[in-house]
Amino acid sequence: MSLILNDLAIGYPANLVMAGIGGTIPDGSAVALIGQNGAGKSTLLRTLAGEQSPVNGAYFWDASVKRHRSIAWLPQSPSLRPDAPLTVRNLAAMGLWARLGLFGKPCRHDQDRIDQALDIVGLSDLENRQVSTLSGGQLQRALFARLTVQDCGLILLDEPFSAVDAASQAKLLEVIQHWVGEGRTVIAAIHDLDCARHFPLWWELSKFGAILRRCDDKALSSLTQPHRALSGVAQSS
Amino acid sequence: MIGVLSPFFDYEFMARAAMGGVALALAGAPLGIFLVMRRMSLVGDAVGHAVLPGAAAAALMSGGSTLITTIGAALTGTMVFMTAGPASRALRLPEDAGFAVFYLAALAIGVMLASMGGGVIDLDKLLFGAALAIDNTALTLACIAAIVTAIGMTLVYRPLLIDTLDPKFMRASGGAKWAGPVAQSVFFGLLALTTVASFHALGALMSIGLTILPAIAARFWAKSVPLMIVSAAGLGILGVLAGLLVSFHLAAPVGAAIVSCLVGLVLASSLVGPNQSLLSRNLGKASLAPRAS
Repeated sequence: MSLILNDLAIGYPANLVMAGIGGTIPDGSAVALIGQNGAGKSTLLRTLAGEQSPVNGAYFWDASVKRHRSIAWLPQSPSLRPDAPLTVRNLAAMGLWARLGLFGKPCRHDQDRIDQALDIVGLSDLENRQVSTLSGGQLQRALFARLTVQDCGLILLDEPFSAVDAASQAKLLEVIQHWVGEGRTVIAAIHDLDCARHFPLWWELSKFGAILRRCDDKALSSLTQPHRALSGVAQSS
Repeated sequence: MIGVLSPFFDYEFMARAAMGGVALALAGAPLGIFLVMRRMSLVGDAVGHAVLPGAAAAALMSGGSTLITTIGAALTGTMVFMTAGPASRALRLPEDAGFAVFYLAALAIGVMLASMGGGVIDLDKLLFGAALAIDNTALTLACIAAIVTAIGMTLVYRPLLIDTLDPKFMRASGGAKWAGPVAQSVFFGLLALTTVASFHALGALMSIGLTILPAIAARFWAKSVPLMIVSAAGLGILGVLAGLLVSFHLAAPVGAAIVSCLVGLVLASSLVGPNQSLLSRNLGKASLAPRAS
């Protein structure tokens, strides 16, 4: 019931970012993925999201809850068009796509899920606003509502707080706590260590490999076999 | 009012042109909205121009048969569309630059081919269309384009919308991996069909006008995609009928008259439409401004 990494190598064959990443991240964890620029945080998240193939090895997401088998990903620069003619509610409803497919109609339960997601991110009163009129923080909360509606067990976030104010950041952290409370695993790439302290686990990427430890600095286990990591030292992500 | 519309009832060629125009406006509405949202208006225009060499060569070989000309137009239009993007990437050119090279080449070759025909080919007709002389084959093609587009866009609407508005989400959402690429292929296939169908009425230079211009105008009238499509269809039909009447009463070239009316609708919409037009934005500012005591 966890994310299992098996000798994973990330990057490109000609430009390996990190190799030999192995280990297990337990279900229901909130993990801050930290490391310097170029350490491979975004590359690792893209690989886990299926956006980029691993150079070597594999990973398995083995959810304890059947409906949590999928993986959701919010990239650092979402590709949502800034002038998209969508209301906040429609954006959240996009999260139903994987389940409804081409012709499925949202049922009452789906509508309730959208209501609940908008409520969790604090956008219920703005559900009919066009997303093009939202502030950066409000848009990020709307994208978190879509992630909530997706109902995935593993949620990957790439620098989710980089363009939001303190109030929105606090709200987003609340949402992450809510997800973890429901048994979901959240892995968030974060460059601000103060912000990362809100996450109980730190997954640190450096030229020496990947280390999983508690945020109070007590090392838990190495996720990288050192000899493999040193052969694939991060140069850029 | 009825008097102004009487040419549509009094003359069969006007009724046929109106029927063809309405069908093309209906086919173009959803395609135009998605083209504009994908910021591909100029790519659509380039593909429209690219039908010329195929149409000219086919007309030359067949002596001007509408069906053969249509097939020729479809072949080169599709070929330019399929090869311009990959060729640009292979040559490390920006994609829009690649499309410019391809469509200018297609246009030049088309004009040369047409002028080699020794009068067999009417170059004006190929470049500017002949909506008032639309024959049964072209009218049937326009109606087929409208029906097939309506069916095709209904089938791929949901994945195409998500792929257009948020392509990374489409790929990583956990949904069917084939849905995005299939929706795109269906969309571009329907665009090719409609562009070729429009070519007989509006010619190679303006064939995409009936798809793009109503879609641009519709953004000033509606906020949601379904309402934009309905608005684009309505505006397209209005532009076609107005253009035909202008052409009839002023003896103006019909393709140019239709496109001019559509441009007029875009301008009018951008000035007074309820959504983000000059007027609505200024009204919004005025209502927010502090009142003088």
